Amino acid sequence: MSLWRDFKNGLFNENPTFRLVLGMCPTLAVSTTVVNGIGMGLAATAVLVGSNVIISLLRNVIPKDVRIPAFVVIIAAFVTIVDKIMAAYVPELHKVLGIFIPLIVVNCIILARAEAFASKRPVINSMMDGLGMGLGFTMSITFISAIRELLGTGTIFVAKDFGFTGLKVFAEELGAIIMILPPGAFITLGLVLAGINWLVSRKGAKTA
Amino acid sequence: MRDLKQMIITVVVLVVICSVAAGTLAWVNGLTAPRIEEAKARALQAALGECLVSATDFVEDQGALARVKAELDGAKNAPAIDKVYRGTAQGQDQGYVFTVNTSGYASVITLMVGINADGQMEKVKVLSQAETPGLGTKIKDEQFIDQSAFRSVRTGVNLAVTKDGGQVQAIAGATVSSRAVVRAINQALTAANVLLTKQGEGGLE
Repeated sequence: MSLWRDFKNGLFNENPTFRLVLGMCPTLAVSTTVVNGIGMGLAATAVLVGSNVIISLLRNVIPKDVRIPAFVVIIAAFVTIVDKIMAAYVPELHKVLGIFIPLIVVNCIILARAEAFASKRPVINSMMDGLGMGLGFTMSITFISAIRELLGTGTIFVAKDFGFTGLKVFAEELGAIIMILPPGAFITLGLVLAGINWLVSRKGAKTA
Repeated sequence: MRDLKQMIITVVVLVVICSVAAGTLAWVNGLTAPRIEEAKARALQAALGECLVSATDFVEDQGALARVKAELDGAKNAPAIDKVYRGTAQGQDQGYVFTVNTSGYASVITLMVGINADGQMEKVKVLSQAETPGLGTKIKDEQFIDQSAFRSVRTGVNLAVTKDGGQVQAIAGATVSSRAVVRAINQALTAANVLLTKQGEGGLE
């Protein structure tokens, strides 16, 4: 059952965005629409699982002193390979997700999990951790994207590149443009973090 | 002695990891580069075909680009014609497709403008842009980019947004981006005028 625990850990208890407060750069930059959020989340998940597995495999080989440079080289190589292969074999998908892929390198969730988990645990556990953390990140960024897209444009799930016109909730003129601009990202993230901290502290107080 | 041995192991491991990573990247690059080029070329041909429906073959025309550059004055903020493609069908010239770079609100917008041999604009397409999400990015929307003011325009006509006394419906809250697109179309029309009239003169000789 420890595999399940490693998986669930990333979704809730140690949700990378809301609990560990990692990966803020992509969270703030890409959460303008739900589809962008899901795209970024899934691309990061793929890289996270891959890098966790490779680093876990090499955990007994990499000397302590140079582990960070080694992780960085492995992650950067992995991201570049994913980028190249997508560009060559699925150019349409690459055109839509292409902008997120270089951004994955600056996602510190990946380096953090390599350092804190994959470099100390067996391969299968590391894979489950990567999957859980990746999906936790996807969930969080999608949640923030949903708030921003809805309040900013009045529609949700708009994805012109995939041919979705989205759900219209209210007239676009009523949307607050600030929500899809950078300040909206900080405001949303701040309020959501505050809300989650409040929920957690209340739950903590009850059980104590 | 132990320290020295440890140090050598450290160096060797890092060198091996970097070499393997570099080797893998070189291998993947060799494997994917031709396919990426091919996909890019296919995407370009598809976009060109969309902008000038009557043409089946497109070639980049360096001579035409040089002629256009010589004729158009490069005013400071004027949109720049980046490439000129000559479209043909069964050996007959069908018109030109221009790629134009124009300064928008937050980014350089790259557009593709197709103008047929009669000097009429067929279609304008946004190739790349990084305008304000939700405002300037709407230049990609059909409502703006396929509007009737664009569809009927010919060489010799100068487009303008309604705010400036023209016919083009600008995007609410994104007049700067809208104007940038209009300027680029005007530039392409001027360029087409240069090429199409030059061709006529050539025919008389």
